[in-house]
Amino acid sequence: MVYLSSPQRNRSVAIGKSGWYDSSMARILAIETSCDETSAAVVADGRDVRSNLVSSQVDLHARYGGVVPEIAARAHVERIGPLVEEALGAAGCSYSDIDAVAVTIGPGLVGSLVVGVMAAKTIALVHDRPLLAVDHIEAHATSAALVTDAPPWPAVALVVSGGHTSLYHVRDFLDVELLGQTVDDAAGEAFDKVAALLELGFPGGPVVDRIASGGDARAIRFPRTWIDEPHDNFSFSGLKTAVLYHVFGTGRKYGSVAHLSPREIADIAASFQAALVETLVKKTIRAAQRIGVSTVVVGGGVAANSALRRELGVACERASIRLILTPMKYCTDNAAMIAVQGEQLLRAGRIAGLDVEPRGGLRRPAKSV
Amino acid sequence: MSELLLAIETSTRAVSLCAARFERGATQLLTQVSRELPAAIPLTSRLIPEIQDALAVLGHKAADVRVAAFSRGPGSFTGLRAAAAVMRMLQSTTGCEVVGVATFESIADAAFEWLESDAAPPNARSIERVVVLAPAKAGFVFAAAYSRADLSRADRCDSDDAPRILAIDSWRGEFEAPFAVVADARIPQNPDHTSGSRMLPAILAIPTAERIARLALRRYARGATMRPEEIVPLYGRKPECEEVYGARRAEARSRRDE
Repeated sequence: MVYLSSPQRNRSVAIGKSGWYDSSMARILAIETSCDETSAAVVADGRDVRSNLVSSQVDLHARYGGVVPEIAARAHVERIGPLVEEALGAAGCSYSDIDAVAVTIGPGLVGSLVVGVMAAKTIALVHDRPLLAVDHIEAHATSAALVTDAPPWPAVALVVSGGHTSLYHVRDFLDVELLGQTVDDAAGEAFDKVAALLELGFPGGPVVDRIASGGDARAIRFPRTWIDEPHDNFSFSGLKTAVLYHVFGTGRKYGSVAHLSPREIADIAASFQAALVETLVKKTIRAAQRIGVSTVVVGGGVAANSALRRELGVACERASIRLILTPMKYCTDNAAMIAVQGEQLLRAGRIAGLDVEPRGGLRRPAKSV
Repeated sequence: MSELLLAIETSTRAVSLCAARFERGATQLLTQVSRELPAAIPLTSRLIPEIQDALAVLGHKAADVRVAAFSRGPGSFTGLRAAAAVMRMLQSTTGCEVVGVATFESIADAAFEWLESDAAPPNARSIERVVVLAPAKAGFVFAAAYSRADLSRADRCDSDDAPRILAIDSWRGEFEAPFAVVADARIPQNPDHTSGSRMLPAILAIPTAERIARLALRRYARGATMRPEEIVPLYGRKPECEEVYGARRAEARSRRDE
């Protein structure tokens, strides 16, 4: 298949065995395996989500209090085949009905990414379809477009999950500038670690959110790292350590929470959450104001946090900024958002070679600390 | 009319692939194309393009593959998982049959073939038993024993034959002598580890896709193909690790079923 740019219509078209087709009508099969969710989706026309299946591994990792890369990679191998077939079935189509294959190329756990990338390459090879290599965080940043009437760009996008905490300036789907990101723990990771030390279970985000609702967010003043710094990077390891020392005593990394009452645990959870949320909200609003955009979009699993949603709503309203919260089903890792971004790559003619490699690491921000 | 077999070997850094034609019901490969991937380039980058090229040399496309075979391990976890993902999707997209061959079985097969060749010393030809060793880090080795009679049956069950992880200082005691040893070149050549055993050339310990293809064809002819859920690597970890993983998985499944 040969891809050509069609300036007349400002989109790419493909020449296949069956003739020409308009890529804006493309049906894209997407695969996402960047961390601990195996996901496959079929999306038509960049918006019509025909299927979006997610096989969660939470149960496998729960006992460890976090994602174990080796276990995640194994589970992806076991689940990828049936899940792709199920996604096609749910969309009422077969491999031959698919126009392109999109896959998360990174960042993420390399062992997990390899499974999805090799699976996608094999489908692309067998069915002679274009391969679309999608950046996972950019897909989170633009996933809000799945539910808006028109693309909400330009916007500042906050992507906040167990693996990432990043701020982007999104000018268009494929014009995404990384403004800043966490230099240590992701926000979701901090939730998991604090939940683990408070012996609340895994995943930490939902359980801390729930426990915090019964606590006093002003009970303990935990640090808001870099909250007033002019750059857009985040750091949550100091916050996590402050909680650790508060619970076990300064300098102590291990201990028990047996001495804490349920009320004290709720206060700690609420105070930790308040510190983290305040940092996210303040830096996001400041980035939007500095750049001069009037829209903020939020994606990633931590976007489900009730305090974050509430505080961002208040702050955006005060700053006259439109807030778009990505629906929950597209906040956690999912293949539909990969298909959306893949469709944009297809339109732009940015087809990946079959030699494209998964990449685990994060990009560095344009403006470092 | 001939059919198409594709075999890939990704359990070590010496990644290779073999595309070959065969007659239905036969156990011999006909025309074949073999490729070795450069060790300096990640297999995740080169494997699929090399498959495409090798099949093209035979005038075929991936959709024509009738039998896909892979080396199941033990070995590089990333390599094994990449191969398993390719096999799963080949089966899903083309409906081809998939055959898995234990990596050590292919090494043992190479060892017995060498013992029967002119290259082997005459007094070595009577050796009936070979122990295959590969490094497993931290003072351990993967080890498995194969007898000439077992291999000639060509119907060994992979999952039952997963190599064990044994301490490098004490693996000998686990196997009944006499036997020859074919050991990965990375295993320290300590005489205490191998004394009393005939050491076969280390090059035999490098598995190849061509041999995987030959063994897979024999297995395919006997109907020993894999169901989708069986297409997973033989990881070769300590039994207690596997037990923990198995228990976690069963627990998670039962929780989901509830």
